[in-house]
Amino acid sequence: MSPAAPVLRLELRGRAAATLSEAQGALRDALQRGGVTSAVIARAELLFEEAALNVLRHGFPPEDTPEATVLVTIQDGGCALDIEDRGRPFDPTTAPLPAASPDLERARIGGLGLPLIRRMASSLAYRREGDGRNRLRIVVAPVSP
Amino acid sequence: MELVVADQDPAALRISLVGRLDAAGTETVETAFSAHVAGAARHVLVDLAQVSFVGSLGIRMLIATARLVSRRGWKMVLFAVQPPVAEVFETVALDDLIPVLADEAAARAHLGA
Repeated sequence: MSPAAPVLRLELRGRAAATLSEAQGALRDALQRGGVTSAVIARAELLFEEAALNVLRHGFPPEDTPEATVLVTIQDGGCALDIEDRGRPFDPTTAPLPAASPDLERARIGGLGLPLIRRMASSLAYRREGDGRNRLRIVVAPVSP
Repeated sequence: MELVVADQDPAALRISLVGRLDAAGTETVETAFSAHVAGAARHVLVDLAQVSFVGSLGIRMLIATARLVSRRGWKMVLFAVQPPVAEVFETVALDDLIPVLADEAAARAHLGA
């Protein structure tokens, strides 16, 4: 069986939060049109935002304009996000997670994106290509109601 | 993203957040939210009934403000969390840091307010 064709291609550029909100809206619409359940859409929106924030805000030197491409595919009632960028190498599948915060006073403020990506995705695959591209595939499996 | 503040109750300030606490929503509301919380001088009830999305930056805002409240000797609690948001909170064990209650009555009971 050949892999399903993407239902959406998102070109992200810059660090502005508004760019992400707009892209999230397009993602939501495409998945809704594709008949994906709201539980899967909620996870996909979260995973998209966290992965895109990581790349756009942490993957490039401050003087560069960060860019990333996201392909969205619907498969088996769930969906896949394929994120590609030319930022610094970063493997979210193996990067160490921050230690759990013992209490509010000693809690780390921030750094929650990576734990969310790791725990919310049904599967994650990362590859650094020889030509300098990061390729991350995030799969969200169907959620039982 | 907006916030609605109910300021009449001397025991607890209630802030209702309305919209999406994604990166953009959090940036929009963060300064006003922190200012209300910092000036509360009492417990803070955060109503999330009308919040359909919370990402890592939204959680960061909630933790930072809850700590601000705690350092002043008060407590901040969250209530009426929608299911997709509850899933995100559980994923990062937010409840270990900030109490998450079912509704306003439970939140007030928790605070004794």
